[in-house]
This record gives sequence, C-alpha cells and structure tokens, in this order.
Amino acid sequence: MTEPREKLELLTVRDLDAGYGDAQILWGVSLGIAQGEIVGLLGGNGAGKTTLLNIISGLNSPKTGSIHYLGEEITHVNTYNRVRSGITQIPEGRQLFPGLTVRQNLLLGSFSLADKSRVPEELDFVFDLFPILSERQKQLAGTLSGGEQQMCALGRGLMSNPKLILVDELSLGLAPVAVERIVEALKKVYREKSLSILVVEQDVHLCLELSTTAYVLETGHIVKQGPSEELAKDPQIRKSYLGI
Amino acid sequence: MLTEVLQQVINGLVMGSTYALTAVGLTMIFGMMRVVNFTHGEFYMLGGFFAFQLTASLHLNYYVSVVVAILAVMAVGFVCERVLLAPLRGKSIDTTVLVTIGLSIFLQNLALLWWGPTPKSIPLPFSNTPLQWGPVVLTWSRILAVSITFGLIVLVHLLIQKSLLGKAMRATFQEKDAALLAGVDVERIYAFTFTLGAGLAAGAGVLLGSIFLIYPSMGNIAILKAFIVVILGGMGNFIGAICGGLILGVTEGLGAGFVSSGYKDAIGFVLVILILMFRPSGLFGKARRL
Amino acid sequence: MKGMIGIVVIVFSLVVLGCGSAGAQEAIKIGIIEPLTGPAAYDGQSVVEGARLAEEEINARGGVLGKQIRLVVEDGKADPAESVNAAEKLLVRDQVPVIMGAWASSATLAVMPVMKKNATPLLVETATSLKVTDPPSEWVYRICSNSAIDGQLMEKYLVPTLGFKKAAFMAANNDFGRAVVTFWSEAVKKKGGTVVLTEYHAPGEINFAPSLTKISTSGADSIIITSDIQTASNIIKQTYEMGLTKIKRLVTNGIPSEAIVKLAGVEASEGVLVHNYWVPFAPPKGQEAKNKQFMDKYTAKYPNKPVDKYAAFGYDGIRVIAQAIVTARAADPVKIKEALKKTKVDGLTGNIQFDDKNQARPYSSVSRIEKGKPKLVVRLN
Repeated sequence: MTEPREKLELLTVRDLDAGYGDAQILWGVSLGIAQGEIVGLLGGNGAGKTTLLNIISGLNSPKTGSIHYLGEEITHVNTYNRVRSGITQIPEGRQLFPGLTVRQNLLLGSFSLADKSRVPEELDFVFDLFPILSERQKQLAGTLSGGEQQMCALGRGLMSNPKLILVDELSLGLAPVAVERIVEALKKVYREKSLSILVVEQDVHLCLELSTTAYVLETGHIVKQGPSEELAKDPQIRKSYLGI
Repeated sequence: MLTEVLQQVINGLVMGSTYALTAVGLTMIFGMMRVVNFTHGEFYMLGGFFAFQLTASLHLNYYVSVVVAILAVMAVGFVCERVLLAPLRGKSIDTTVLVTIGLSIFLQNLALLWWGPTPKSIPLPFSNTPLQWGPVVLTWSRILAVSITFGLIVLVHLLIQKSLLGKAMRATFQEKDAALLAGVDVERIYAFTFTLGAGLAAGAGVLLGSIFLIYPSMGNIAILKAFIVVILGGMGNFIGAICGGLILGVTEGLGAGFVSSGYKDAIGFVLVILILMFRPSGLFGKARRL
Repeated sequence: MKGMIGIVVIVFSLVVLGCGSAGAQEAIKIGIIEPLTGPAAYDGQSVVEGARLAEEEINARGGVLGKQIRLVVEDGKADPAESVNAAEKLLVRDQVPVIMGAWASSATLAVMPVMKKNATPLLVETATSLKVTDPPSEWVYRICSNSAIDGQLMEKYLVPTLGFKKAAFMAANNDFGRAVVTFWSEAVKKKGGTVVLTEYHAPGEINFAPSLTKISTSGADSIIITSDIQTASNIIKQTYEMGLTKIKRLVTNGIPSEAIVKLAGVEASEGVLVHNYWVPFAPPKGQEAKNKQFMDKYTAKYPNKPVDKYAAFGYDGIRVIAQAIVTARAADPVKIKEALKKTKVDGLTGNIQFDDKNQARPYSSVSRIEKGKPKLVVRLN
C-alpha cells in the first residue's frame, strides 16, 4: 500500500518471521507478486526458500507477519481454502501419490474445483501439454521417470485452475533435456492461461531467464531484489551464484 | 478327523471375518491419522447395544436396526473425532493415545450406567437351529455375520479404490502434504476416516453381538484381537488386516481344537511375537499401500 | 458486618459438618468387595443388592449394638490385583472391622493374606475353591459351598442317577474352574465313569465353537459347564447351535436357570441340568415363609432382575456378620473373628454354622430346565 505500483498486486507477503521451535528460518521477509508476473526467488541450500513457499501455500504458519492475496488477508486461511482460491504449489521432489495412477493423480488435483464439469477440459489441457502423460495415464505414478514425474506434478497443479503457481525446484535432479521440455511447457502455460508464477530455483540462470522480477534470499533475509535483467548483471550475484 | 478340521476352519473363518472387520477400521485410522484408537472396542460395544435397544425396546426390524445402529455409532465417532481429536492434530501419538484411552473408559462406564452390567441378547428374526451341511454345522446368524462382514469389506474396498473420496483418502495416506497442496481437505478426510472406522467396528459388534451376548465390557477382548490382527497384517495395511483377521481366526480355531482351548488366546500372542521377531513390519507390511 | 456473616457461616458449617461426621462415626462399617464392572459384574451386583436388603432390614430393627450398620462397597472386578487394592482401601481408609467378598476364588485367595496381615476377618460369600478353607485360616470364614463338598454330594447322583458316564468338562481357566474339574472328576471316576475331555477357557471368552467341535467328536455323553452366568449361557446357546442337544448338559455352581433361559433362549436351554445352591422355587425346609418375604422385598426394590443365589448369599452374609457383631459386643476385628466361630444363622441358603475349618455347609440341589422353567430333580442335602 505504501509504495504505489502500476501493476495489480496479486500476492503480498509482509515482514514474515518463521521457524521451527527455537531455530528461526525467516527474518522479516517481504515480497510481492503482481498479476501476470513471473517472480524468481534465488537462494542457496537452507536459505529458507521452501519454508517461504510452504507459508504462502499454508503448509507452515509464520510467527509474525502477514500474507494478502487478492486484497484479502489469508495469513490464517488453511491450505485447502488457499488452493480453492487459486494458489497452487508444485512441491519440491514432486511428491506424487506413488500408489495412484497418473490419471488419478491428475484428477486429485481438481479435488478442490467446485465446478467439476470443467475437469475434462483441464485434463485435456494437461494431456495436450504433456502427451506422454496421456500415454501413461493408467501407469502408477511411482513408476514414472524423474522428468515424467515432474510433468505429472505440474499437471496436477494445473488441474485446480490456479491463478498463482508456486514452483519449487523445478530442475532438481533432472536431465537438461527434461528441464528444457518442462520449462517450455511452463512458458506455454504462462502464455495461454492468465496466471502468475513464483519460481524457486537453485539454477540461477534458469530462474533469472524465466522471471521478470527476482528476490535473493540468504539465511532467511532478502538481501537483494529487482528486475531480473539487472540482477543478472549484478557482479556480486554473478560471483556468488553464477560462478563467473 | 477331516470333518473336525473342516468344522474348525469354518468356525475360525466366522470369527476371523469379524476380527478383520474390527481391525480394518483400526488400521485405517492408524495409517491415515497416526492415531492408535483405543476407543475402537467401545464403538464395537456400542454397535451391539444400539442394535439391542432398537430391536428389543423399539421393536424395529432386525436388518433395519443393524443399519441404524451402525449409522448411530458413526455419528458418535464423528462427534468424538471433531471434539477430541481434531484439536490435537499434529500432537504426539502419546497424547492421542491418552485421549482415546480416556474416551474408552468413559464410554464403557456410560454403557454400564445406561444398560447395566446384565448381559443382553439381541432378538433375531430367524430361528437359530443348527443347519447341517454334510459334515459341517452352521447357524443362520453365523452365515449372516460372515456375509454382511464380507459385504461391508468389499463396499469399503470399492469406496477406497473407486470413489474420488477414496482416492483422496489414499492420497492423504501416501503424501499428506501433497494431498493438502492438491486441495484435498485433509481435515474432512480425517473425520470421514474415523467415522468410517467407527462404523466398521460397530458392524462387527452388531454381528458378533447377534451370535453371542452383549455387555459393556465386550469391547475389551475385541480390541485386543484387533490389535493382534493389525500387527499381523502390518500397521495401516488394509488387505493385511483382512488376511490377518482370517489367519488369526483359523489359527485360534485349529489351535483350540488340536492343541488346547486353554491356550486359545495365547496363540494370537505367540503369532504376534513370531511376526515381530521375523517380520517386524507385519506379514504384509512391505506393501504400505492403501 | 461482612465479618460477622462469615463467622456465622463458619460456625454453622462446623456444627452441620460435625453432626454429619459424628453420625457417620456412629455407624458400624462392613466392607464389601464385589465385581461391579467386567464380565462378572452381573453376579457381583446381585450380592451387593442382597446385602443392601439385609442392611435395610437390620437398620430398620435398630441396627446392632444400638448403632446402624453401613456397607462400604468396593469394586474388585473379580480380579486378584484389583481385589487386593479394594481390600487395602477398605482396611486402611475406611478401617472396616470385617469384610465380605471377594466373589471369585482367585480374587479371594489373593485377598486372604491381606486380611491376615491386618488381623481382620473375611466372610467368603461365593468363592468355591477348596484352597479358601483348606488349609484353614483363622481369619477366613465361608458360607458358600466348596468344590470338595459339592463333589462329594454329587458322587451319589452324577453317574448313577444322571448317567454322566463319559463326561466332558468346559471350565473357566481359574482357581474356581480347576477346583470344580478336580473334585467333580473324582465323583465321576469313583462311580466307574470316565472324563473324556477337559476344555478350559479364558474368563470373558465368547466363542466356544472350537471346544464344542472337539467335544462333538470325542464321544462324550455329557458336558459339565463351570463358568460365570454369561459365559455358561453362551456355551449352552452354542451347544444348541452346533446340534449337541443330545449330549446331557449340566451347569455347576448355582447359575440361575432363569438367567440361562433368558440369555441362551428357551430352545437352547431345554433339558439343561442345573446344580443349585439357593433357588427361588425350592428353599430349604422351614425357610419357605422367610424366602417368600425376601423375594418379595428384592423384587420390589429391583423389579427388572430375577432373584438369584448371589443375592441370597449376600443377604445371608450380612446377617451372619451382624449376628457375629452382636455376639462380639463390639465392632472389633479380633472379637468379630472369635464370635463368627460360634455364630449360627438359619439362613435362606441353609443352616449356617462353621466347622473346624470355618466352612459352612449350604443347601444344594439339582434341577432341570423344561420349557424355560426349572423343575427340581433332586435335593442333595
């Protein structure tokens, strides 16, 4: 509210403090995502990226601070209702339901949809995006390759017809070809559906390439923020994250 | 000799099927919610007493009473879950154990107060004269018990495998956080699981109560057997609970028939000790799948 | 002003409370340990109810030694450990000078050393294991029968009259069940019969199909059933369901026929023989009027429950204790113990007086259930 913006703010995170027991993970973190924007979140291992995402999706709760979504405070709204209102997290390490088929995994993604008549349309969109999933739809999700699992996870997230996707470590443990394939798909989704994305990545190149704005998180503090293009030129970032 | 073996196996299957029915609910609640439900025996007992109250006092049709009794216990289960367990979500397993033990003592004594210690017998709409099938003797109440039990188990199996709700249950069981992120209302799943489990225990109570007698402390032995079955089949394993129940029933029958009836209950515990020694995750523990 | 009110309230409470506790001190306490919960609760409640009738009657007549008597009842759950706890509570907290209990043989045997340690007499009302009075303890008196006496009495009838030539036992796996099996087996064997099978079950067991299947192929012509009411009824029900009604069935130790009929059903209980102590339909000679009076009072107070032997023993037990307190001229444990030796009561359960082992010999009989009603077959003494 204090700093006027030309773009409509979709999600605003303000002064988050969070942690587990005595261990504090996040210190006064603030972050904003505008409608139709892709925001990147950079940071090394243990910087607190996943904790921040979990707080936005409602899996964890902050000690202090607030989260506003579409102008309403959602700090104490449960995960289920956040998903219903359009926030979807694609969890790190995919976290598919290994004992269910690909199709069942995808269908569960639309569990929160009030209007179930939209389900076939959404399913078609996902199968169109990843034809391989259509071929494997009867297969147990636990038997998919890493890349296919990531596709399935992304597909499951899209099934809830989200307004905001939180993508956690998309590239983790995947072959470059698979990463490229999924990034292409993500760009296509961004073009075709009017949504916003928060990309959390260790792969700084990828993160800055995808996003328009980015934040750098170090040991629980936001140390830098700005347009991604500028950050990509920042000597300090080039030194510590790009190894140049 | 062969006749006797056959008869003992059939006796065992009758008992085993109701063990399985009790244990399925217990194992589901544990697998899904990490709650060791010591109140399970009381849901079993309440099933018997509700059916008794409906048939003997209100003169309702027996089959209607069975259904109503199960639904009534499900309502009790639902309330218990919402009021006592929901606020303790995420607390340690010891906390919920204390709560379910407390609730068990409370319900048992409430039943004692309401219905008194006198054992009751549920009036049946059919005569319980023995039916001789070749060398094997059975009664209608037993045939009915086995049929309804298997009917209920198949129904629950279909519910879990086929319905969206069932898929959401399995998803919650396999990856709770991911289920939350997929928009599954995990709280609703928990409430439903607990309610369903209570209903299954009640079903077993009604059916065994129709064969034997009902009294306030009848749940004690039922829950003991259910725990044995759950350990046999692997904690949280649906198929394991069914097989475990049948195995326990038949082993007890054969053991009592050919070793000594004095050691009948010991047999179950010997089985558990052997399983824990050689297959600590249960006979079917490996396939941790719902 | 407020202070005044406070003082008045305090003084007033002291007076009221003082009166209350003085009144309570006046009463002579009698401890009772019975199963009030668990599988034996039905029977335990009956004992307490019978005892309550005696308490009322005695107090209505002015009590004993000019004081009212007051029963202090504890739940022993028919379990040794629980009953010992109950006894400790009664002796230490309530300081009762005498206890009646503890229903089950195992529980009674566990309580006996506690009584000896505290030098307080125990009146045993229903536990039948021989070990309760053999070897005898100076602190333990028994008004109910024991398995040795029952065995002796049955010897004349079991094989010769009733035809139990190849008997099978189904007994509770505890001191009570094992004692019955021991002495009744002797009774069978002494008259040329054989015991073909003995099946023990855990207390609270419900499924007897395995044992009955075994009995059906064992060639037994009779089953002797020893357990609590609901278990015995369950066994009777299941003998019928497995088509074993041609085999003679006898239920030992005074399980009421009415309860068997109610719980097992009229069809299943047809022809079942019942070994009785006190029964409503055949009181000891000379007790008919007193018996009717007792039954009327009991039924008026507990309308939905048939009168059973447990109530009668509970009733007689309290009368014996009250009589002993009168003889002792003090509510003192040691004096009551001495007085019990000389106590004689013409009870509903028989002429109660104690032999050199502190054992009384109650009245017993055998009846047969016909169309849901018990018919006297033979009086044993």
